[in-house]
Amino acid sequence: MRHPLYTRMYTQAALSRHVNDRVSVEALLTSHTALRTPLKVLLDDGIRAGILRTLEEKEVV
Amino acid sequence: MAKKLDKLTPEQEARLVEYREEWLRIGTSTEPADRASAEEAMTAMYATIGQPAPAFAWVPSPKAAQCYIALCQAQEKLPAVSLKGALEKVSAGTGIVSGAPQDVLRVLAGDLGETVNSIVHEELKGLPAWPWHWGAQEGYWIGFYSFCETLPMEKPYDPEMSRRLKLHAQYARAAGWCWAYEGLAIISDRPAEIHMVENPRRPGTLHLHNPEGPAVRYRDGWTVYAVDGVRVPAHVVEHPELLTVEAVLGEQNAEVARVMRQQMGDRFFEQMQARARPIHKDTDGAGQYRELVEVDWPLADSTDNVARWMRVSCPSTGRVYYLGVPPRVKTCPEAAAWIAGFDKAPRELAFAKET
Repeated sequence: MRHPLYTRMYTQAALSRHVNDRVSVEALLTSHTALRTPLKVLLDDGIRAGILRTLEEKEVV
Repeated sequence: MAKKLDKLTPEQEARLVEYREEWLRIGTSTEPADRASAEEAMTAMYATIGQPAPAFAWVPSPKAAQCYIALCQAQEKLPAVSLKGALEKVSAGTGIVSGAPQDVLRVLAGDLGETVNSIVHEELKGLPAWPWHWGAQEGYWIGFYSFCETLPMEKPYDPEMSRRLKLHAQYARAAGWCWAYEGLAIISDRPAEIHMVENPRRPGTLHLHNPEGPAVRYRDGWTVYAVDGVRVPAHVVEHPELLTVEAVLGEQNAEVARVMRQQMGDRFFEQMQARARPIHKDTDGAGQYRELVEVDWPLADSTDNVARWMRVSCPSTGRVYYLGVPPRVKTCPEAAAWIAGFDKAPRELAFAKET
């Protein structure tokens, strides 16, 4: 089964190529600084990673 | 080569802020999941890969999802027990939605016997099954590409990619993590609480922070603790009165040790100052004061029954750290060298410059 993870990664890669080919480095940098990076720091590096690391702890239920 | 969009206009830059705020709100939403919308989006994603609509098992937290997955894995090891029957039971059961993970496990394992129960416990000691969608926490890339779609690029997104992006956005707006299997999608609800503050080390960004309770709490009671963006064990937050100097100095993770010390407050310094003997002090290459101290510590891995730490402070944040070094270390430069991985006698060390 080609599971949904495949479609997610494929979608991200395709969109990344599209944007990188059509938006200048300066505009991308502005966009990353104001939009993508703050969200990534909190949502991905912070909340998602924090939940996952806690989940990985060897807890005896 | 296509002509590139050169620079964002003030209107587009203003829209960046709107998208950031919107996806920050979505990514930190503590509303109960919108099940209908999540199932619709996930079904469409399954259809995209040629799969029929899956059955949906809703669980209150990622921990509950792990219990559910562990149970299914355990059943594969016990072919006498029907996986299908158990899945139907779990999918239709109310315990999986309303109970704590332990309760969920008890309800499920109670039906299947102690043998399964013990296997499930073993499964839970391993690494968790990897979710296939992070739900609301995927907002950083979904929000970014959704914004980019509004830019007047020379060529718009491929319609199929645009459709898929909207499906991911729909799912991220609606629910938490998803473990997608053939014919079965296990979806976690969103947290009931998320506590965060601005990160002083990265202005303009937020990080998890709650020194008085869980930083993240799900509706089944499963929690994640974090202070200053550093994930810590629950007792550091819930029972700081039980923390000791020994526990702080024995902690391997310097950031966790700093939070532990912070949670102890003045009690840490009182305990430490009463016990620490200065061995050496100087300033490092950046002009930061540092001090090598020694504490009697019978439990230390040392024939001298002492342990040594170097007290340093971060020049950018001012945070104080105690870094453990071997008792044979006698000076601050030697301690710094040992921490950096140079394990030599002091006379063999000749620093041109410390940075």
